[in-house]
Amino acid sequence: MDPRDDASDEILLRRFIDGDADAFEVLVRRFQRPLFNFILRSVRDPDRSEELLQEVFLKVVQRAAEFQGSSKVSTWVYTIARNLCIDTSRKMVFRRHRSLDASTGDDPDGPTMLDRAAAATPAADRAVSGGDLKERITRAVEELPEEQREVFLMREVSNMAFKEIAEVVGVPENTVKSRMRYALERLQRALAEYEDYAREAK
Amino acid sequence: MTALTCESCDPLLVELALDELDDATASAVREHAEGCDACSRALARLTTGRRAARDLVRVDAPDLSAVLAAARARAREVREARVSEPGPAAAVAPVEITEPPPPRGSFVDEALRWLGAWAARPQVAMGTLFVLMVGIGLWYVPQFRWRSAGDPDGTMVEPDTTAELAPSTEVQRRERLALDEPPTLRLAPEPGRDHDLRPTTAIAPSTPAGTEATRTEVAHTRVLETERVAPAPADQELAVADVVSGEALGRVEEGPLPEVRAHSTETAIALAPSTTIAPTTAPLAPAEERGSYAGAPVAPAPSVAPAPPRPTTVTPHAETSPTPSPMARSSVDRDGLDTPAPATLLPNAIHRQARSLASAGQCSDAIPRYEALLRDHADYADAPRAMLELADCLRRVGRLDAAATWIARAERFPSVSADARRARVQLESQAEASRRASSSEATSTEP
Repeated sequence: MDPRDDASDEILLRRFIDGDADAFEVLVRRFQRPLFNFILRSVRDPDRSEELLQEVFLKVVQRAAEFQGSSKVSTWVYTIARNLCIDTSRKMVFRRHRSLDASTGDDPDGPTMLDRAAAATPAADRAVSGGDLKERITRAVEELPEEQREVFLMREVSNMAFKEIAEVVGVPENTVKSRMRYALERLQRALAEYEDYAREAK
Repeated sequence: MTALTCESCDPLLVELALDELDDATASAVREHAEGCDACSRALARLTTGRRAARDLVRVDAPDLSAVLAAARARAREVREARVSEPGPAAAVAPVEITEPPPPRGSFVDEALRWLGAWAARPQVAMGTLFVLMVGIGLWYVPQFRWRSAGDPDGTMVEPDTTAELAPSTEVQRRERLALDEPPTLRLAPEPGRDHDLRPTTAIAPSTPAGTEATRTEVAHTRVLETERVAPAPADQELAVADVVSGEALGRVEEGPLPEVRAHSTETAIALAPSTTIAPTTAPLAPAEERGSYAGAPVAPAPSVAPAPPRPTTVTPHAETSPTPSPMARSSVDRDGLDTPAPATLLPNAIHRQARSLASAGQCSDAIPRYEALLRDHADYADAPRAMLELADCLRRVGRLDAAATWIARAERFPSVSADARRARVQLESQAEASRRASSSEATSTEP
């Protein structure tokens, strides 16, 4: 096991500033999946999300020397990603973008963008239940208000603490907790009908 | 730990659902929730939502080899830079790179460089643009635009602002051509020389061979052509019939015709329309009789003979030339004669005349004027009122049927319909009264 894998994000970034490219690779491995999911659920466009992910890491590469160390690396990285997502969302307001739940082919029951991003084949339980729970959850998350969604994603997808999220979002920690609570309650309401339906189907 | 209340427990529920509480606080919250229905339901909702969040699909990140390559390149640059650094002192005091001073040239080069530096400034560009816009704006100011092109000293020429609306009324002298129509002449009586037959040099300034008779003929011809419009002084009123051959009334001059002024009302009524719209229809004398002008010799022997008597009917002439050229029209100040009289002038005059007669009790005289007005000027604006007045006149003279007809016509106009109804009532009452009178007369005459 590479000892670099146990090092903190701040140490890895410092090593990269000193010229250690492998330290940056470790950082990328740590952040790429949660960061990509955060970006993907924020902008809801897989192609644009890939571009934004690369852009975030390129900014980290370019501005690594400017990192002061007053905050955590994850806070800094997510702040960059959030700002890029906000800019992109503003630009996409007047554009028609493909939904993650829309089918990619001519067949309306074909694999959705979400299926294509997650796996090469459609979800296995999709054809059985006629309504995918994960798809329902994804839709419910995407339908969250933006301020609730970003808090929910940072907390549940990226496992960030409320204090960190408060730093990234720029609001008090209690506000973050309130937004998280509203997000969870909204998700529960969105899934209640589905659970009733699933219970009746059984 | 003391038991929690709902108010203190509620904010902790979300942290409990997210496993963020320490064990002691978490157990206290759970204990409260077990005994509190509301907090228990709230915790259940949050837990369900959290479970949904755990089921959210996590998508694998794409390939980031490009980013990693950029990171390696950056790290390599950092390492190379560190190796090439001579020491810490160099980092503390980096070498300041300054551009070498430009070689000094001549004074002209420096001046051009200074001018170029000034010209490249945005303030200069904006100033130039401003001056350009002001210049373009001044070009469209009329006082600056109508500068005579052929005026070498650049004196200003008054712009003709009416040129786009009407022909210019400015008198512009030009050289007269041999083929031009003879100019409009007017007769200006000379006090003290009322019947002087001697023409002035204005008639034929260069007529060496002209005889007295010839000049007289010329004067007479022009008198006949212009006498109808020449104003006569008050102390020299001449009857038209008094103008006979060989008699001159005054000095014949070139120039614009004076405004037509009639000496009686009838003449004015007769003159008004034809002065404005009807060209002259009086037979003109041949060119030999009319003579020439401006240097052309006056016709000799044939025109010496007395001219045949001319019709002396008063016909207004605005010009003696039957087809005046546009230049002649535009070069003569006609004092508004070209402007057509308003179409309402004549019907108004007739209406006023008829109304004055009717108000004076002369209904018999007023009726034909009213009828002429309504017949000849069907589009007269005050025709409905004239109809009522005519009906009133007819009623007064006892022509009740005709009056009823005109009242019926007037009733069709909303502006006088109320008055027409009143007139009809009055007419019917009069008709009834006349019927009664006639019946009583009939009964009284019966034995």
